[in-house]
Amino acid sequence: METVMQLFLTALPAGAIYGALGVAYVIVHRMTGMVNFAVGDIAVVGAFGAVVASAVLPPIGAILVGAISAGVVSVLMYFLAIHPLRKQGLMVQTIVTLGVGIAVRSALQLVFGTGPYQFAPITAGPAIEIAGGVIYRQSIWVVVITVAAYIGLAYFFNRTLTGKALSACAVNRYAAGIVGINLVVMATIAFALSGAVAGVVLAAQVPSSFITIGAGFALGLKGFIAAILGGFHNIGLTLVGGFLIAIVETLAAVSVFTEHAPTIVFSLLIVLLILRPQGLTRKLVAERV
Amino acid sequence: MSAILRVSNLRFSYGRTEVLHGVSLYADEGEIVTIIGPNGAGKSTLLNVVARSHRLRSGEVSLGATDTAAFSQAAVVKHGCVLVPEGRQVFSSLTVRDNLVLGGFTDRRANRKRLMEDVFSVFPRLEERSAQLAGTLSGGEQQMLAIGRAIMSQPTVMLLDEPSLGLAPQMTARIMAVLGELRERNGLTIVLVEQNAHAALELADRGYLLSGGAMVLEGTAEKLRADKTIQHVYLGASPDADPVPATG
Ligand SMILES: Nc1ncnc2c1ncn2[C@@H]1O[C@H](COP(=O)(O)OP(=O)(O)OP(=O)(O)O)[C@@H](O)[C@H]1O
Ligand SMILES: [Mg+2]
Repeated sequence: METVMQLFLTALPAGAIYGALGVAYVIVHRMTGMVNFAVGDIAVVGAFGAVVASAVLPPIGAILVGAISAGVVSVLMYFLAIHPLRKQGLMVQTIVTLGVGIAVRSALQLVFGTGPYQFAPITAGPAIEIAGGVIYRQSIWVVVITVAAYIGLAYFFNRTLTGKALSACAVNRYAAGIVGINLVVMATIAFALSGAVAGVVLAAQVPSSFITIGAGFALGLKGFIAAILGGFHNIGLTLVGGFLIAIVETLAAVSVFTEHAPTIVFSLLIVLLILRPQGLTRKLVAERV
Repeated sequence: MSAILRVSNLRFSYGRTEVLHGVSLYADEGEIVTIIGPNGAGKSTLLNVVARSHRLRSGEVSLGATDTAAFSQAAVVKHGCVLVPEGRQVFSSLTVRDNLVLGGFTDRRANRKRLMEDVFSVFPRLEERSAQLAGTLSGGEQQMLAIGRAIMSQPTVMLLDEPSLGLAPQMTARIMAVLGELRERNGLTIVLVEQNAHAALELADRGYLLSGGAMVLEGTAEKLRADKTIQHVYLGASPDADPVPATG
């Protein structure tokens, strides 16, 4: 019988990852209005970037390389697949991201095969016991890195001119142009940040479990639910949403429904879309003009 | 005196439909120039091309001695030419303050605090509402914000597209007065597109009548006020007069 504390400690790092992936969706959506379904696979790029870098760098450096590689791939995706389709509209761009996800996954498979990969944790040592539950040291790092990313992003969006300009693009692209905001530059920043956030957190998670090529799709969908819970706008609530998903998933896994945990999570998505399209936020954000 | 804004032989098409057929106009420094004309004449299109919201494909637009052919939208703003667009187009889910801050986006080293105080001195109402979301402002307040946002870019030329649209006469008068003030105080050059020909010709030094994508009449404000077509169609007592384009 698992304790409540153990449930919490298990859900915490998982929720951080779902939340971070959700935030990756939100950043791109805030700026462009599109949904980037390649987020999960781009996060996996980050994880593998870290795996490769871990051969020569200490874990923390490897994770940083993971963040950068995911950010770079995300920007490449924008210039190769999204920007050329800017006249086709958001729906076409959104669908294309599904294709990009598959392409990225296939490319990774060619290079790495299917086997699981891992590298050393940032801090070595046995799992830590907290009030009757245990948590890996690396899992604590995952949470710390997620919180740090959140603080950085909140500062960026609320306090810096560039961050405000980025939000302004989603609110009113036409007006953003009028005040002299360059939409391509802003999209580049958004895709870079989105990729980096997804990549850094998943890379940080690798030492505490492992990473496989196929992980991206399911992770991406859970991130998508987290983003919905955040109203596809609010970064803090998206993280909370990620944590709630992890709680549901963990509960399902320890209940009699063990095998059906994914089904339960995705059924939740459908119910949620019907009952609360605005997620945890109070109301739907006004549509872009 | 050489013009601070000069548009020569400008053509523009949406798809295959040409809506501006070689339009020319100029504005001297500190001048208020108005463009009036019926719905669909191409007034908004013209301003959007000058501000580069629409691409400049044929014709010339220069600011002072500088040809803007190679300019991006941001470069036009940096060169002191800013658009106050039709329908205000404020950032509705951002605060008044953030809207103003973004108005100064192209000049990172500008003293935004001082500029914002300037805007607040012109529109004290905006200061009271500075923490409010722009989308919740009244129409008149949103127009103030759109103009305030433009001021934040420290323009030398301001293009305004129907600022009086949907405003009560009192608020229209207020906005017109502010435009006059900005010209006096900052030497601002103003190009004012208006349906409200009465208010526009009262304020302006010169004016143009744009109809069917071509300039059909130009001259001093007095001359336009005295013109038969304009009197009949744009200044007439009957508000539902049929806006027949003037010819010649
Ligand atoms: N995005 C567009 N696509 C196609 N045609 C357009 C577009 N925008 C405007 N037009 C057409 O171009 C012509 C000029 O439009 P424009 O908006 O410039 O007129 P306007 O003089 O500003 O009119 P109003 O006084 O109603 O604002 C119109 O015939 C209009 O239907
Ligand atoms: Mg118009």
